[in-house]
Amino acid sequence: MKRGVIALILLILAGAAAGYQYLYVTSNTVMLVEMLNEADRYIEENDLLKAQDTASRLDHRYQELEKTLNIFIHHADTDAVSQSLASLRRYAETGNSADFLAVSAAAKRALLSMHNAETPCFQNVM
Amino acid sequence: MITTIIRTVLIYIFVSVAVRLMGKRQVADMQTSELVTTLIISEVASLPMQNIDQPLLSGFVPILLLVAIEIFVSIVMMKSRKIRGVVVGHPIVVIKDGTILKEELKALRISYEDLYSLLRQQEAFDIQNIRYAIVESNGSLSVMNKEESASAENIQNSEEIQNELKKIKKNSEEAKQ
Repeated sequence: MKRGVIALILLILAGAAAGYQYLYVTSNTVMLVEMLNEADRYIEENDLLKAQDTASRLDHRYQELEKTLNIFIHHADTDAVSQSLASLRRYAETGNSADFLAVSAAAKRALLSMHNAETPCFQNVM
Repeated sequence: MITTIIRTVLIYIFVSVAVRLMGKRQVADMQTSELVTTLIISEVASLPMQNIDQPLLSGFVPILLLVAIEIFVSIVMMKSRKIRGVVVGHPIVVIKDGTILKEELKALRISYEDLYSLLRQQEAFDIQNIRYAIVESNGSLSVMNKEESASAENIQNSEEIQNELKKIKKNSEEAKQ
């Protein structure tokens, strides 16, 4: 029965790791997408200063989160978002709205993809 | 490269502990389900070892789960002979009282040459001297010589062996008719 208890503990550990990953990734990707939407609104309103500020905050926030995200998600995926967010700040500084919105859309798509990948649905399992 | 080295060491320790938790020391002692689990674990463990882009957790969590499932399955198999039969199969008698049971060999897809080779490995060189030769559920061959059979009542009277012998007797009676 000792091995049964060990097996149960292993199951709990696996479940806890999976649960923590789900909560961490989904909550933070939602927050990042909201910040991107906010930055998009400022750019569309031609409020470059606020767009720049939001893009800068977004980039810094993502760099903090990326260290933990890399524990759960393939580095190639997190790097792609990091590169997009780094270029967003520059586009906001130069007032390049079209490129800003394009890169923002790409970053949002990548973040939503990370979010959706956590859902235990049939398509993800297959 | 330093990261690769650290990950390799961690994965090695993790997999060693995982396989040890399953409770077997040698491949030869493993049932098929345990061998399958070990093979899958080695495959899953090698992925984050070679690809440092892949999170270590994506290797560790499946391994933890596989070990837990294997332990649960082995506990259930201990308690239920039926489930044990489904998961690992039953031992099959292939030689009885010096006679090779051709139908059983055919069902196991073991050739005569394979059988002779297994017998030689068990140091059994005279088939006539064999009371029972049994292919166990893990694929190994157990041989009981006629001299030993008198003192081995418990093993030859095990329910699985007795069921196999009854089946053989029934098959040979049907064949005669």
